[in-house]
Amino acid sequence: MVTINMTDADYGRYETRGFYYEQSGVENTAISVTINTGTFGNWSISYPGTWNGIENCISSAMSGANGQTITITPSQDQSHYAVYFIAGSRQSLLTGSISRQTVPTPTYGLEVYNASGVKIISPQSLLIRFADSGALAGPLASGATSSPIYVQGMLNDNSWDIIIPIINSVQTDDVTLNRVTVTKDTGFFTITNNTSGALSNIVYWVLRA
Amino acid sequence: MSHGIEIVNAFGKTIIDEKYANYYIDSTSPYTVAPGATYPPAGTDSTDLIFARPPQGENKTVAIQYLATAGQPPIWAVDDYDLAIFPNYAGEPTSYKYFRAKKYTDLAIPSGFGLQVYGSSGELFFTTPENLSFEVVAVGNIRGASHVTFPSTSGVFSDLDKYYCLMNTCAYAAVNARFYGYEVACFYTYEWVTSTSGRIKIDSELYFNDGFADTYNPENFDYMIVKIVG
Repeated sequence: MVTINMTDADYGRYETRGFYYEQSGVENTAISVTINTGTFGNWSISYPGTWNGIENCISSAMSGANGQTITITPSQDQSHYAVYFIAGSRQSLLTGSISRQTVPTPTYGLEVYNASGVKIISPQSLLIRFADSGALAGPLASGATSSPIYVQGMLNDNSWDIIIPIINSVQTDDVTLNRVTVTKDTGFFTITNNTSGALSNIVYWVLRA
Repeated sequence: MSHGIEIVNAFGKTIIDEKYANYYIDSTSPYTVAPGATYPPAGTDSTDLIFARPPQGENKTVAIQYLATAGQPPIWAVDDYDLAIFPNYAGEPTSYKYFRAKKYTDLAIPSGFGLQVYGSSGELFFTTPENLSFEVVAVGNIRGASHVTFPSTSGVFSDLDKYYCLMNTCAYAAVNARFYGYEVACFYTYEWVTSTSGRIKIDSELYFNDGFADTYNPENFDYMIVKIVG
């Protein structure tokens, strides 16, 4: 059990961020939330990705009584989320802890040691692998979607990761948020330019992580 | 799969197979480069990934700076008047420590020990690194938040010196900054709590000045943190 105690006295807001990735590949592991003292008021959650299940889990189980513990088991693997627990009244103090269940030591799977005898791969390891990289052939006009970029075996799931630098051309960039949208599909993906100007030199890496 | 090998980790993710090549570190210790040096460094292939951090103990920011002058290559970011406008920017490090991750094709392949996996055409997709390796600690995309902290805002990595951040998607650029202009910045700031432990703040912001007011908005940032093993 790994416990992170919250110590923020700023009107009782306690937060934790992203500790699922303190170790690799443990994103599906349950966490326990315990309210120790104070009047529980509310919670909120933020995440870059999509988490289904956490909101319903907290809403249905969290009455706010001291000593209450709930267990949250994410129903969808993702890289990061943050949960905020907020005191019931401003200036009051809420103390609590969030614990992550320790991943059991596996009794199966592959272990690889390097020449120095250091274990470099275990069944808990998460590795990235190279699938493809490249650049669009020409500038992508405002609002335009690229031709399909074919990647053999590609699926529309989160085992495929496409990374794109946000700055592709300083001279033609603008202030529009989320400059490009990547759409994955079976066997290919596309890139859409969300800005009001053309983007050139769009490079990408396709990884399996 | 109907044949060959596939290694799946405890969470259902494939980590080794004979379809996709794994990445390998091309050195036995980190390279060192000064702020302002050209990025990417010589010898970098288009398929490479570059991971960097500040020197141990320096509470500083690592980023890649794109210059407004046409034709100029990006550089390892230096602290300047414009970059310092971002609240979470912590200043330039005295140097950058970085590793380069390559596909197997550019590296000497060790032999005589470990696991090797070949594809159907005879190409090597996995081999056992002789010295250092790395594994993914965090990977994701910031869209709704201007910054996130790993492992948490109160937690620490006990061996932060082993954690490096992806530079390929880092970016800082300014166009007419401070007056009718904008700046975009996606960077990593290291916060050392002790000489060896600490946390990493991932920041992604867009600053805009319309001549009357300054505004900050979250940007779109593909990030990755890896841990060196070995």
